[in-house]
Amino acid sequence: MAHDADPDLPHRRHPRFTPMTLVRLAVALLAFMWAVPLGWMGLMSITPDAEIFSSGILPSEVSLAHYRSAWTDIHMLGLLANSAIVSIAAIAGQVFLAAMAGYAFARLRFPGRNLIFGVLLITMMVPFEVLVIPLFLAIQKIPLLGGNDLFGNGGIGAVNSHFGLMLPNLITVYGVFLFRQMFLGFPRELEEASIVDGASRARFFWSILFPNAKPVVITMGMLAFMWSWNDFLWPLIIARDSDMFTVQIGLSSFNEQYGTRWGPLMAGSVLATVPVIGAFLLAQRWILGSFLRSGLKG
Amino acid sequence: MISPATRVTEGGARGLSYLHRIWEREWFSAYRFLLLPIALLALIKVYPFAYNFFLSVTDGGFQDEVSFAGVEHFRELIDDRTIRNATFNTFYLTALVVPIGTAVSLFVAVVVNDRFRGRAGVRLGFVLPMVTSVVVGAMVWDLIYLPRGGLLNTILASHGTDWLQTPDLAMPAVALVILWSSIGLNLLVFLAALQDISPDLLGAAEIDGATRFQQFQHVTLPGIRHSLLFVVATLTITVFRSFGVIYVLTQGGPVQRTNTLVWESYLNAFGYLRFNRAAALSVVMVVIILIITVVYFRMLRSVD
Amino acid sequence: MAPELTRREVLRIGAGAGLAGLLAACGVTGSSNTSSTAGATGSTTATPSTTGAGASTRELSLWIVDHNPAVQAALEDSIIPAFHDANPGYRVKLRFTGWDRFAEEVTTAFTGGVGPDIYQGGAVWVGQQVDRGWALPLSSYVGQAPGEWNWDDFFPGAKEDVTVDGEIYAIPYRVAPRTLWYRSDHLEEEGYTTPPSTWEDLREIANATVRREGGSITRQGFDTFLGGAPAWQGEMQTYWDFMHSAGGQFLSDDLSRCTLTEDAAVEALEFLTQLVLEDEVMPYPSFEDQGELSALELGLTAMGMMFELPDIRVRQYAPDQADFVHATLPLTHATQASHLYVNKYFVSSQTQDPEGSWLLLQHLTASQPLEAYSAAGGYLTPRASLGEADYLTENLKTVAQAGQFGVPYPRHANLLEMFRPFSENLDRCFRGQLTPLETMQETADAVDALL
Repeated sequence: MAHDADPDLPHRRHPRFTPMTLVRLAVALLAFMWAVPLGWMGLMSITPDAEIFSSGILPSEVSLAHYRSAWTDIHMLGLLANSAIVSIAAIAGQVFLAAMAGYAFARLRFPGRNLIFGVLLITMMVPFEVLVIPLFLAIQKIPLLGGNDLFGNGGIGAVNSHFGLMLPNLITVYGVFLFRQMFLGFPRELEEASIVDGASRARFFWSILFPNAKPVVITMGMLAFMWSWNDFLWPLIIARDSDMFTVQIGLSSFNEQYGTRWGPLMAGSVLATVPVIGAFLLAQRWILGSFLRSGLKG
Repeated sequence: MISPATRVTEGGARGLSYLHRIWEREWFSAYRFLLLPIALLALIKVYPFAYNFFLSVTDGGFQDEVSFAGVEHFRELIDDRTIRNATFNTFYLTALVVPIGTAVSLFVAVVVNDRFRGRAGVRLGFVLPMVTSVVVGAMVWDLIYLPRGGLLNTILASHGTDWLQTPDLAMPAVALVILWSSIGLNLLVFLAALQDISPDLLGAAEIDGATRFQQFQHVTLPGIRHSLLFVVATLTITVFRSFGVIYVLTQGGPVQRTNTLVWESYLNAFGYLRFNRAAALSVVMVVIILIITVVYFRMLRSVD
Repeated sequence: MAPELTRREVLRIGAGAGLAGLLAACGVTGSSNTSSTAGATGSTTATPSTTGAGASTRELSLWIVDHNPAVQAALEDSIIPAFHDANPGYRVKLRFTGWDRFAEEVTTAFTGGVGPDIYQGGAVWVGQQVDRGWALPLSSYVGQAPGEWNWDDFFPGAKEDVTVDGEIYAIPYRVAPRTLWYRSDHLEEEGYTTPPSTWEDLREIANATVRREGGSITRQGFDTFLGGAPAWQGEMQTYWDFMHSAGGQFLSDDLSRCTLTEDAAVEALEFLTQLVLEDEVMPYPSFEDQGELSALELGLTAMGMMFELPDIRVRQYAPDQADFVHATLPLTHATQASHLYVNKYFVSSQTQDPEGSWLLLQHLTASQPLEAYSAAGGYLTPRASLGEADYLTENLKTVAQAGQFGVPYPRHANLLEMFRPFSENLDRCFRGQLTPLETMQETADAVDALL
């Protein structure tokens, strides 16, 4: 229970209950309160309809009817599948593409480097809602897809397709930024040494740099999965038919015209959130694991 | 430059080695790496951004005829009372979220930095909300804020208070939801920053007789200044861009009390079909965020 | 040291992921061609799986937003097939969606030039769609429609709602007339056996039926907001009813200025503020909904203005209260009138086949198919002849009748924007911060700026 710090420092005897303990308790309580909404979500998902609006906290009986509703009413399996396809593609895209770009901006000199990076940073400041319509237009005009001719006219392009769904999530400026930050921190000597040894830049990147960036890669992968899985506005606009809907869209259909079906909504939300929490916990473990294995402090 | 170890055959050697020279030129390498990423980014970020800017200085667009409008839309925005109100609301929301969010996540980070039993659980409690989607999170809070039967009123015994429909309470209610979902990420940022603070420095301060608080003030705080500014800036940008929470909970109401710049922009585009105005509004938002970012960089530099 | 990931391995993984993505992209592209309904929303073609369309088959896309499972079945199993039978050579592609995303979908579809042929639209849509040029003018088609289709069967208010400068731009398919609802049990307690028919009657009964305990109201005599609408519009909804019955108008006939400052409009607001602030027949804000039920179905208010919702709510969620919840015709003051919400079908101006689109639209709004559609959904139709249809309960028949007295919104493209300062000022008025006249003046100023 002593200092986590330098073992050479003299150990101080800590009394049983310090002010620090109280503070820790307070923070633990706060953490509990923070997790309460999620707990409430889970609780409401098993509370029968009649008791959802009651002032009590615990339901008198546990009901799984909402899960059944959520599963069948909005065809949950299909939704989960779509979200999964799109999000896994997002992981691949972000991890590789953002890493490549990040490396280029961090380590390679070329004309226009700062300008291009600056422009990208500015685009990061605009809320997505604002870019949605022009983006839709761009996707709809992609040549040779969805019935489009060479100039992108005539058809619907990538609208209402998995490709259209995943496109905006394949790479983000944030990801490029993150990788760039990371690669900036790498010692230049490593790279120069490998080039002198005869390796091409590509080989250096894939064999040496990329594998050493494991923590960032895993973090980025998890973030990519999370952003794509949780995306709401884009799938809403690009998916036309229900068999293209993702999980988040499906959930919104419980908000009916004159009321909300809270029970199935909460059950559906639980089902929608579990994969992301799982991905997050997995990522955490991998990051910690990679620290241990490689001996890096991180 | 050329790798001396490149193995080439005689004969076509000179031609191949010349190509190889270009191939390994630094800038060519860069373009190789950048081709796909930049192409994609141009499509999904730069083009919409540019088109949006184009819309803000024209009338019409999309399938309609286009005519140049200059700063017309911007002038309209300045005169509009609703826009002034939305700007005020946006800054109000920022003032509610950023100081508290930064302070709380820093405080928790400091506490959680020490090893103690249950520390992982505490950290998880704060970080999990960050992982839920905006829509799911907001819908859960919608349930919690219900006037009758909602968890908040049950706990506070304030039966019947309609948090989302009472003009003075609506924005704080929205702010709480944003706080809830954003603390986790900032907590992680601060934790990472705290790891970098040399324990020797802290130890030295302790030996010199500094209290924990003084240690914090004179060693920790300066040590994490970069992250501190980073958190403040990104949290501000997050609040400015915050859309989903308002979309689900208040839709800008009641009586426009939670109408922010983003919401106003969305309404103009999808509600009133006034795309040029919506675009102009978003350009205003970008400018404001740009200013904030510049201020952040200045402060960063001055503090170094 | 760090594990070696050879270049070959990385390429393999990258290729695999890319291939997966590519397969997903090329292979599955949405629209199903089987008649499977996917839950609450989805897209189907109403024809059973046919083997390939003939060269002359023309496809019409129809976007439906007012629906439930019964409506979907009615459309797919009888209404659309009937259209196919009567008009071979056409194939209808149905798409069901929800109000919550409809605005985004329609907007992006039209700006991208990939809109539907026929689509449903809500109460304030005509002004906007016409202003944007997205709605096809339909007067000539209406003029050539067969006699039995009968445009004159539609309520005057409904017809007015879809007409701009004399040109028809949409065909109504559903109306929600607002009218007065009351609780017979509350009224009978005070000895009233008939509901009010004038403003004065209303005031009298409201004051008689309100219940107070220790200075606060425990049961309202009248409620100005019974939900069922975007909350931010609040009291504005009920105000429109009273404005119509006072003979007032929101905008002048030529839509050039706001006429709220005229006597009739001010009088309507004065009446309501008198009820709320002087007589105190309800607190402000009034009692909110609990779950699915509003104060009326809960027995917490004696009267209120609403469209057909209370009947649906009470039958579904509080059947024990059904005997006491009743509708009556709108009140008469200067005239007998209330507000009329109209939902309508538009034909897209971007359609490739205007004639075919009109044929489908004509079919959907003809008496029999419209009745089938409305019966399945429990909707009220804009046709006077269907006012006594079998699927309507007593209350719904009354509300349907109220449709004759319904006055729709003016057809201005900026209505939604104008509503905002209006509802804000109304809120301040009901809190006693503005007099009715001041409220109207401030609102008129704000609205005029938007015209």
